[in-house]
Amino acid sequence: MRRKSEDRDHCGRPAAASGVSRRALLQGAAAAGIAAGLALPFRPAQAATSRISFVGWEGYDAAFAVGDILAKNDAALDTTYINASEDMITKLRSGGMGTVDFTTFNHMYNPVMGEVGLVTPLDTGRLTNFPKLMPKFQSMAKEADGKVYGIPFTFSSCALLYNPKLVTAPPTSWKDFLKPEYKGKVALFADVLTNILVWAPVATGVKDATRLTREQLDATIELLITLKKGHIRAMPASLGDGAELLIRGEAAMIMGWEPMVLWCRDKGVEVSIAKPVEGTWAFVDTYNIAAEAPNLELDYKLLDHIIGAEAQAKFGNDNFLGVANADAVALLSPEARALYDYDNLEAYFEHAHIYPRMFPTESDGTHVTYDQVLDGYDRFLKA
Amino acid sequence: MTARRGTLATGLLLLPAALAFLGLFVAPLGYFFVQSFWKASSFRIVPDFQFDNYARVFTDYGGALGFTLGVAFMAATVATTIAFLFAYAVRFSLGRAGNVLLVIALITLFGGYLVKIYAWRTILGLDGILNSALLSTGLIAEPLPFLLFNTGAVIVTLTHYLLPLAMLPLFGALRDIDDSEIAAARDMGAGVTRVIIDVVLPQIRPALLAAFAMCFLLAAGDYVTPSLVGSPGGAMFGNFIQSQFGLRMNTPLGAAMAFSLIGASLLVLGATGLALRLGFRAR
Repeated sequence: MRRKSEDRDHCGRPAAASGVSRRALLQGAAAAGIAAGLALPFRPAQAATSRISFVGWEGYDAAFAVGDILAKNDAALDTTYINASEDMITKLRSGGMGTVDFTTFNHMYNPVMGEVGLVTPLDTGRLTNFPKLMPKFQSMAKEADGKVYGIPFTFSSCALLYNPKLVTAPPTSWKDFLKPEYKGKVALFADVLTNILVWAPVATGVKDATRLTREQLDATIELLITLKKGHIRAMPASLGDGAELLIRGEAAMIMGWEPMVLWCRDKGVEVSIAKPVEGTWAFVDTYNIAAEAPNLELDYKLLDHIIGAEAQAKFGNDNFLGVANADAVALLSPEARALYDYDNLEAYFEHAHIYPRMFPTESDGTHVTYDQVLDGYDRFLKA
Repeated sequence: MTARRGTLATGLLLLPAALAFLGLFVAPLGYFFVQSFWKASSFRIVPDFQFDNYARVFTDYGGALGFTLGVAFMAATVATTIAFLFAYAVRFSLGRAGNVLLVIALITLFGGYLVKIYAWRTILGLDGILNSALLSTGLIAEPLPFLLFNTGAVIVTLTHYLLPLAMLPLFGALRDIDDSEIAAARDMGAGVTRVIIDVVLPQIRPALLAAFAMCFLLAAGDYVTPSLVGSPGGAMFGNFIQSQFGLRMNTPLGAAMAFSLIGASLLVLGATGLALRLGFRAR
């Protein structure tokens, strides 16, 4: 009889009907909490032995998911995604050295990053897949000082995209942005580097847009201000926002990015890529091993995997970006392959200029420094 | 002995809060305040003691600061005014339906900030709800492009985001108002407007200032809204602060800009508090 009463809750219902009594539940929860708290510091080491720290653009870590490279090496990946290249410098400068393994600097940053000791000079002889990179990328890996600070693994360009239904004729020049019929129907991308490197040749005819005189920078900023005040509909904060402007018909032409063609198509809007006579800016992003990387030996192994054909193809198909490994091209989906002129990359890069390095950080007496470029860009934003 | 033990117990109870306050608020702010007198050189921060950063805030970014304070003032004023009218109706006119409306208004807080911004892009865009409605009614022949990507869109979006936040202190203050005071004023012949100005507003002045301050400070520090719905020329001060901390890696100047914004905001709030005190005196 006693047992029977114990099996009932305070309302007289059989305990089984309500599952467990409140007291039992609380006792159980408390016990579980204490047990978990005590067990936490002594948890058996099921975690990977090596933690690989990646600091770079989202999506650039896709290669780690190919195969079982991490598991095979008893490693796990920690990712920190960035909003600007400078975030990587901030991370390394503010205690990141010694904890970060990989960064993904644009190749233009590499000479300075190597010079100030933020990235490790690489021995390409240790990378079995390095010779499989297209010759252009192999040669550009080596900097003026003869060292390699990053392995090129992807490329793309700032493309002039337009919606054929919203233009009277396909644009042939960036100056078409200034035509009266497109007033309020064009968009610039909100990025200082892209705007200066694309519009400096348009405003001044300069060949190397990273080496501007004061007058050339001023002319570039004035042109950007003219565009902003009289022609631009918006300056999208992200590439996705830019694609949305095209999809919604908010913009007829935009400073964009090749993958946006497929994003728009996915939403049922066909956009085309124009070839402005002034050309455009191509970026080549690299994989770097950070200085004092905690897993240097393993990092080399992983880097070799990252630039391998299979990982490159996965990256290209996921992100619709260009790949550097020649063998990976055949593994790309038709639409990812069609975005870039792999059969004639020389022609592609003749139109989309690769600049060898960033703006000067210190004054050379002739050309403006990066800080002066940023001041000029602030002037454009404030105008 | 008991008193001393009580003081000790109070001190111990306050200790976690004091440590959190010092560690999470005072220490970071203090660090950045000190840094605001340093300088940046070639991506490095160099300790120093100079006022150049503060001078640059006003010479180089004074216009952006003034523009930002203006936008924040507008958004806070509109949000506080609408919030007051809504809270007043809920408290005095709408009965039980008012409480339901209040809950609905507050539920919008769960929607998230970015969702609201994108919602307004959907409403105000060329193919947005508003333009589609105007086109379908025949009021316009072409979509109106000026609804989006301008300062007006920034103010509308910020107001929508801030509205529920302004309602909370105002409704709380209105609940404390004694109905008999309002009834007495009405019995003596005062109209609704006179009752609001002479009886209600003077009593909820602190809540008005709290609502305004919350809206103003959030709007003044915002940099996402102008990036997504503002005009290309409408960069707010927060955008430039973000640029200093991120792209330019000039945290000393970024810190000086942040403290200048705090100082300027306190001046605006002080002036607003004074104006409320002078404007809404109990009679």
